[in-house]
Amino acid sequence: MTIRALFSAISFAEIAKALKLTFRHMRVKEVTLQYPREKLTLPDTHRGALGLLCYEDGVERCVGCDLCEAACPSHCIKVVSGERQENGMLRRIATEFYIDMTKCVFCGFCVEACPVNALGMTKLYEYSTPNKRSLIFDKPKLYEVGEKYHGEAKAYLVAHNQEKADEQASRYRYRFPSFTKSNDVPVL
Amino acid sequence: MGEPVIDHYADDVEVTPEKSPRRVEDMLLNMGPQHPATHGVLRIVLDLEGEIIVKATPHLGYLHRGVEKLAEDATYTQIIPLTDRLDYICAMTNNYAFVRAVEKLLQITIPQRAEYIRTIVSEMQRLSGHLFWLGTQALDIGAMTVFFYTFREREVLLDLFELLCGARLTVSYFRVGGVDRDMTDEVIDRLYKFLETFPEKIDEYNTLLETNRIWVARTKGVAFISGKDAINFGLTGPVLRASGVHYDVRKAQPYGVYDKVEWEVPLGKNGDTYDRYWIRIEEMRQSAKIIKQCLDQIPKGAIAADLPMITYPPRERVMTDMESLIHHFMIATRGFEVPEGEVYSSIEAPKGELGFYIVSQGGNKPHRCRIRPPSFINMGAFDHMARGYMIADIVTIFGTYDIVMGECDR
Ligand code: SF4
Ligand code: SF4
Repeated sequence: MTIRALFSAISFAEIAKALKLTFRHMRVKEVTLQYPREKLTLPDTHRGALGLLCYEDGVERCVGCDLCEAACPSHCIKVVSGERQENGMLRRIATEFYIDMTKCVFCGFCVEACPVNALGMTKLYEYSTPNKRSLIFDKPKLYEVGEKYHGEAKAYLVAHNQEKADEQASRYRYRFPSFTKSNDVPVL
Repeated sequence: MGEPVIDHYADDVEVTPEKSPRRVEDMLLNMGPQHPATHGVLRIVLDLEGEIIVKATPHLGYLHRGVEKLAEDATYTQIIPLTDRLDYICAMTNNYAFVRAVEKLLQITIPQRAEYIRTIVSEMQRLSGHLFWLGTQALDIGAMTVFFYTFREREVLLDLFELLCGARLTVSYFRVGGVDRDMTDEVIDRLYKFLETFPEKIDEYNTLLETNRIWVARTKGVAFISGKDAINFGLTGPVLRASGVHYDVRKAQPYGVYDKVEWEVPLGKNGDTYDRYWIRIEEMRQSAKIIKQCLDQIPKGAIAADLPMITYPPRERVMTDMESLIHHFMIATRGFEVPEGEVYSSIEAPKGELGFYIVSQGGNKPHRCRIRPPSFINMGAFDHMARGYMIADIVTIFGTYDIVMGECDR
């Protein structure tokens, strides 16, 4: 053992050096957030709870095409589709819509699959509940989430290249031809 | 003082169980499955002679979720979220390994920009994986401060992942044929900023550990394995390289853009935990170097191959073009058809060589999807590496692999 090594062994030099570093950190700005009081600002891309969206005029976007159900890797979406008369048009619609949030893995595949951008992911992540059944979001609940966090869901769609910002968004709207009954010839 | 203790190690004392005033026998000690240092759920049965480990038998399978079987019933795209959950702290590299295997089977090439993005994110993932290892290994050994410091940097990287794809851990970022979302300028700027200060941060960890007598005493010479044994046990990753064997998939069979950037494979000499610590520190420096070069070189362009039957068509086209809409429907409902064949493809994950062996019999789902997880194979050498050490070293010994049970048990 050299003198130098002996000296550093006796003097605890490396411990002193390390302590100097940790003491220096007392003056560094803290990085932790006091969670319930302070919250992170999440980026627009954040994949949170799902919601169903409406167009500006309040018409439901979802056409009940079932693509989200097929694309979901955890099989947690259930769509029942039907037809409905609306302003003299017969349009397809999801009469029932369930997403089991206890099974959802927040992969965003359903949003990617939806051809009319009816689903959007919000920044909602605090919906824990003692009642597990309420975590199966049904259609009213999904539209409620979609309405309440409409801005976030839209921002998500824009951030993930699903939709353009507002002025061009109308291009992405699917317009039903004016059928009155399913086997009618379209009125052009 | 009571009865004299018989030293049954001393040669001149004959100990037979009947004559001994005390019962002398090997002790079986169960460690886990719920133990704070097992990084998951792992049970180890330790055969002890006093404090010395005579035999260590790992019992795996507590975190088995049947990923390989689940994969047989999911389309290729739907398997991507499953792979996230193998090694859940390094999801990007898992995605990469799987997607690359499928691409090899489909024989498609992906755009350059996507290759760069893939390389960047998998190196970011390596950084965060190694930071995680360093923090938790130091914490297991008893140094708490390092844990806070490494997690501070890891947080920055995870935030970048969130900005990039929306999730921090279970990213599901890769797609067959490209990636999900383009790397925006904001991500690139923040990554540059992170890389500027990162080398100093590595020095900080070193200041805390490198010469610290407790860290050195508890890692030097612990969990030794020679290069020859390491090869025979099939070890890969930092564990192998610490024993001085030059094998890194990134160099041996370059993928992504690893052949277009300059970097070195750090090698150890002693094959002990201290060397593994150095290897991981050096790999972090190299990863930072790779990311920096990639960011400088990254070209503009598409982020996914334009293959109408495999990748989703761009959104504008889906809305305006009937054919694209049909393709969109086909990909969403049925996935894509993969030709018949078998393929093995591997990448260098932070823990070692992560490979996917996919057997396809045509159709949109794999017939068999076998995963070669580095943690599992590395675990094979556990008994060999643990024998002869003290019981207090056991935490160091399985921490040294950077083991994650999610990947080990699949
Ligand atoms: S986010 Fe993923 S798991 Fe959740 S409902 Fe959508 S597709 Fe299914
Ligand atoms: S949410 Fe979208 S994908 Fe799902 S049924 Fe409605 S329109 Fe189809």
